Amino acid sequence: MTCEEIPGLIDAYLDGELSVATTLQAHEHFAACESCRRILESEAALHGLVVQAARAAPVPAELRNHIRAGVSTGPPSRLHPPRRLVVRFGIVSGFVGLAVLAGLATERLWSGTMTPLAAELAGKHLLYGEGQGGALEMMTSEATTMGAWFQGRLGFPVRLPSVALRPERLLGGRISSVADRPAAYALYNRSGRPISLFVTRRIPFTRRGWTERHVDGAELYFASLRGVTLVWWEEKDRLYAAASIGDEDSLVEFALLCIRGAQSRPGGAALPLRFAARSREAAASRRRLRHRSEAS
Amino acid sequence: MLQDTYEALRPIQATPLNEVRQALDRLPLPYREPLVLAHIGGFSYKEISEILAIPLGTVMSRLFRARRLLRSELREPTRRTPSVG
Repeated sequence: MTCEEIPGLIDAYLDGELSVATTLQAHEHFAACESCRRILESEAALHGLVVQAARAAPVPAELRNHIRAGVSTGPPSRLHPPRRLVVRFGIVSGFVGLAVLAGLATERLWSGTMTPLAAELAGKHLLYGEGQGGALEMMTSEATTMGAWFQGRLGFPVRLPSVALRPERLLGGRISSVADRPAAYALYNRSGRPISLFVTRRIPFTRRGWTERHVDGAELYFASLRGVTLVWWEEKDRLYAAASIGDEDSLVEFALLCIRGAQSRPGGAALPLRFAARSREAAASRRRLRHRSEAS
Repeated sequence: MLQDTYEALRPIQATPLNEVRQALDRLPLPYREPLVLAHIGGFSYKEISEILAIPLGTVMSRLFRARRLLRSELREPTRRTPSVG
């Protein structure tokens, strides 16, 4: 990546719209180029100011009405909790250097053997999961409480599996990120062994380096890195990833528990009503958007 | 050349929030909309494109232009933004 390319990419970089590969290239360039890093810091400051200013003031009525006309019956919560604030405030409050260095260190350490996503997930599991819960921002064993906490901060619903009759116990969670996108991080414990669960919006990345397995109709992708077993799967517009030091089988079991807990079933018996209602609401919202887009 | 332009800027972090809010209010609606959706709603470019029913490329160019206009407003807070062309 060259200095000439940076001005054209910087907005998408700060908005989290670049591919993982391009984001990593940009990380590398910013770490090496002081003048581009100054541009990044200046742009990040502008982004941060807009967020702070807009949060502190009500949205002008004229604008609010226009947006409402566009998404008149969509879920109201979508407009409120900003889901990328974590990234932006992090960047603005001076952690550009740290983020760049962490990104680079992670990539260089593991790039020869593993994809950046695997390196990131394994690194965060070791950081948050194996630290006995010290990095958690919210401690609770209630999946619904945890889900509501995530939604309030990320702006999108996060479905966590019910583990009431399972050997896993929910310990709590924190706001994290996956491939520079804000993500929910929930920590479980199964027989003294931590299991990390990441939930974020679906992100484009290469599946090379991951082993695909079909288990009970679910499409799971596996990898193992530095003793950490990793699995990810997609569901609708979400990316789920779990990590644990241990055998693949218990992680598969956990993944299937998450998948079953989030899917509708005939009669809806296994699905909490809250999730069923949200699924219907999301489907209706998508239909409305599609209809509007076709009509215009 | 771009670097020189950026280096010539005052530290933008020092801008008072009310000044930023006023500058936001002065932005023409076609530029303010995607900016607010991206920053406050946290919507992706694709989602903004669907909400505003404009092409993805237009979302990107309006965001780019919006930020340039905003930056220029913050450097010269008393100047009014020209109407959208």
